Amino acid sequence: MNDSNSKRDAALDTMLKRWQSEENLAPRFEERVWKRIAHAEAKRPSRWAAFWLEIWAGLSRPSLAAVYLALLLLTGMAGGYYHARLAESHTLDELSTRYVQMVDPYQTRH
Amino acid sequence: MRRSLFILITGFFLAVAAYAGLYFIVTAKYHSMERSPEPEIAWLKREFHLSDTEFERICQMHDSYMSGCAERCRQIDEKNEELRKLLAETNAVTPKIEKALADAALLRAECQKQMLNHFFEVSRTMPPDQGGRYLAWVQNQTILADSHQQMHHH
Repeated sequence: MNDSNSKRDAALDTMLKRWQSEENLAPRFEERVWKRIAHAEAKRPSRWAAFWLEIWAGLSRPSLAAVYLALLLLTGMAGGYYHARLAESHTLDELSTRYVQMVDPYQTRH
Repeated sequence: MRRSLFILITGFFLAVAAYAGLYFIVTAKYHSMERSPEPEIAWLKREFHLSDTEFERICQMHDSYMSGCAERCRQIDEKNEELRKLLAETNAVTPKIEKALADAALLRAECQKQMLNHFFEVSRTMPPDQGGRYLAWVQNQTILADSHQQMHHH
């Protein structure tokens, strides 16, 4: 099988070597080819866009979707807890100040 | 594509729900404290780990102190008003101003005495360690804070 393939390739190789185009190429053919290549490359998405496209495609995979959901769940919980602690500290400070203002007539707003 | 969008949106709502859920669970006890009839006293109970019996006694002391305090507040307002009028009439320290200042100082001393009595009484009702902590804190916030401010202004 491999022998027959290599024989065919050798034949093709010989034919290609013998082949010569009789038609003249269009003027500035080479330049236009390079321009088209450059244009096609410019249209390719940037690294970041490619990264996000990959993530987007990955979300349909159960394992990545589970990681994403778990990450957002944890972020939400951490944010909620952090803000609750801030609010708690603010409330306690405010209540202690109000207690002092209540018992000290010179700190009460007359 | 549609599945990715669904996961993306679900994740967003999950994060919001987790944030709100935890926030409300943690702050629930403080919201209930704020809604109590006297949140400042409810704060005292929480801060100084008071039992229900201690808390009830302190509430009674507080109410009794506050009734006298209202009268002292009225006297302070009256004295301040009198002093304001006297100061507006002149550009020198007159005997009347001197007397008003002396009266104000006496009133202040009386207020501070009553306040300190109340603090000592409250601290004695608390467990000894909490009572000591309360006394140190409340004195720093009131009597000692005043002295510090006065020294600073001088």
